[in-house]
Amino acid sequence: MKHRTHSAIGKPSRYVHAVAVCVALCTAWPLPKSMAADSVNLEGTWRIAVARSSFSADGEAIPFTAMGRKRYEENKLNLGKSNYDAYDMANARCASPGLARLMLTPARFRIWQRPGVIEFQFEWNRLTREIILSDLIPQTRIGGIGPKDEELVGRAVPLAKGYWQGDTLVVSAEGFDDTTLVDNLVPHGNQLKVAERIRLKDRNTLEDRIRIEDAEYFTRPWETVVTYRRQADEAFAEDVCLDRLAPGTPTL
Amino acid sequence: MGIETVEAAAEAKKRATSHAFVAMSCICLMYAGGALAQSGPGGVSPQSADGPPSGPAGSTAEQGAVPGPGGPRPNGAEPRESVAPPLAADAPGPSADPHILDGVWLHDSLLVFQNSTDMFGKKTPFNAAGLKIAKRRVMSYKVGTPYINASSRCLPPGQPWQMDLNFPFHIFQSKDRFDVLFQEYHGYWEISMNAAKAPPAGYMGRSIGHWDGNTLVVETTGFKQDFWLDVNGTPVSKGAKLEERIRKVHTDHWYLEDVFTLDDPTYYTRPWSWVRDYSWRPDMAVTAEYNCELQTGEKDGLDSSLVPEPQD
Amino acid sequence: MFVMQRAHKCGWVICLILLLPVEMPAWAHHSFVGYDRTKTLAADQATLKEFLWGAPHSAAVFMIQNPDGTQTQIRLTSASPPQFSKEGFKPTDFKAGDKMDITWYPAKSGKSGGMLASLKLPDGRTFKDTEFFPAAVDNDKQAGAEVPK
Repeated sequence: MKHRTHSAIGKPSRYVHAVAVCVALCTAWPLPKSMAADSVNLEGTWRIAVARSSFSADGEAIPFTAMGRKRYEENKLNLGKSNYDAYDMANARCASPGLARLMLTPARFRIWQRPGVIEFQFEWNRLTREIILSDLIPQTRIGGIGPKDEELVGRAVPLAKGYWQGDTLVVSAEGFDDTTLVDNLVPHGNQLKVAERIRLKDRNTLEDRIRIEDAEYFTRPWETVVTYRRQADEAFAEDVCLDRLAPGTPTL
Repeated sequence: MGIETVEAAAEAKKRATSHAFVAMSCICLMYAGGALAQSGPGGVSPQSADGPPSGPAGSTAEQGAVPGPGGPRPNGAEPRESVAPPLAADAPGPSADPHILDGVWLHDSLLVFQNSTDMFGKKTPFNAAGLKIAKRRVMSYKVGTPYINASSRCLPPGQPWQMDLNFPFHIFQSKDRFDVLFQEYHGYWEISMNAAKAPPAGYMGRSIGHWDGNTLVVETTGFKQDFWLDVNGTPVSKGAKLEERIRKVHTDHWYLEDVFTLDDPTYYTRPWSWVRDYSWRPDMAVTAEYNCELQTGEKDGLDSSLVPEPQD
Repeated sequence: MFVMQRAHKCGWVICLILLLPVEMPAWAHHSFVGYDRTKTLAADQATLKEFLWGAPHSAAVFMIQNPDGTQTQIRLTSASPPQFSKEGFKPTDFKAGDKMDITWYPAKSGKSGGMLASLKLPDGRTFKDTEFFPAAVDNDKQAGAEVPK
């Protein structure tokens, strides 16, 4: 694209008042703290309230299918031997823990709300996840280029769609690969669907109710709740998981 | 394209007063804001062996768009053709405030494989040590055994490599810092506007920023290891100082102009500068996963065509 | 373990290379110069261990049976999902444990592995890479790079 140039009209000082008015009214792209498109402000830095590696199914046993139970027990055996290579790519290779397990991170994460997209910035290994609230399409499909074939390929963290229901952000994601675990032990396949209801319980408490569904591994969908406490706003140090990688040593 | 922000902005405008003065002021602000964004910064100019050049006659300066520090782009680099599909005409623009860089940006010019000249067209000022490494790396391609580098291992590659890649990145701006998140290598670059709150240095160094007029000046030091400036391996030592002068520019599109100046006596005879543009791309907010460690985190997970670089 | 992963990096950048006469970087961390296009190695009934459709680039890991009964693991850089899709393949067609006849261009480094040239699935279908080699892309741009003086 060619760079055409503008000639300035008048001097900036003549429009000081206009600047004040127009920044407030006319700016198409919101200032960083603006939540024009969203009804609730989830922005901030968060950390899980009670550190843990496993989900519980609302206090009940996880409803495994026979295959799910078999894989789960195999994973437990391997965990006992710190044999992460056999079942846990996040701990074995620093691979992405995947969408649900990321919400169990013991490190902090930050939420950024921008028009049409809510971005989670995780301290652990600089990972992110996005929730799309608009009809923005993946950048790989901009201009009609970027074939849908890629969408046949599963991901550890698939694109998630969301919408506001009152004060609750309703999120759904599917299109997983099978390289991750639901938490530190629970297996899943590429039919996994994760749904979430995210809201502020109070100004300093974030709640994520997570629904797990995978007919291959669970006899029925099951739910779990995780809460997070607001943290001070501080820069994250650069975390490079590969620098911490050692056989038999967990990275999470 | 039904981008929600356009609708939200349209609704906001409908609710606003239709006072003629405000309407006219808004229109004028677009041009004034553009002029403000384009105004040249003060401070140190990027480095050329001949010192800072002046704008030549008939340059873009005479047409009202003030060129970046150091004058217009050399070697016919302007106009800079975009290699990305175009942004829709009705896409929302960024804030007209030159101090707000928040948003999604994309290096949409051809990737510079090898920075063989500076932004003034002068040869990259290698010293003997730098030339030796640069030559060796280029030769490694010619003989078909390219070297392992940070990017192939999925470590943070440093700048400008991280921003040079033709994939979008988000700038999230808050009071004391910029959190810049990249799709590639799930990269993260933090610019602290308050040095007292800056985190420790990492592979991307430690970046401290301050405003010089409408230009964000970022000074980065403390790199964790030597790194590659570009794909062909122009070297940077971990003791280098990298300065970036970033400003938001509006011509026929919005972009960030970033003038880099590298001060690295280990490999170069003097500081030298290059420039990049990153176009405003709010349509590219949805980024792709980069789960590279699934491969590179495995023993023997690196591509077999790569070999370790000699460490001498 | 059957692994599927999104081929991120081969998004619109690669597709622009393939569809438009625009010079674009293929992969920013290295090029294809490290594979010997004059040679093709082959292994019959290699066992697919993993097919990773993702970053840094899609790759397939195979276990090859040696005559002495041992096994060798090799990692082959592979084409991206769009290329497979053009020939009628889906990522779910590649299952860990499947035995495939494979050919590949070896790495000039002498290390085992290289760039996947073709593979034949258990059901008889064959994928043959026709995009990268012969390359529509000037992937030797780095090999032709100017040596600094």
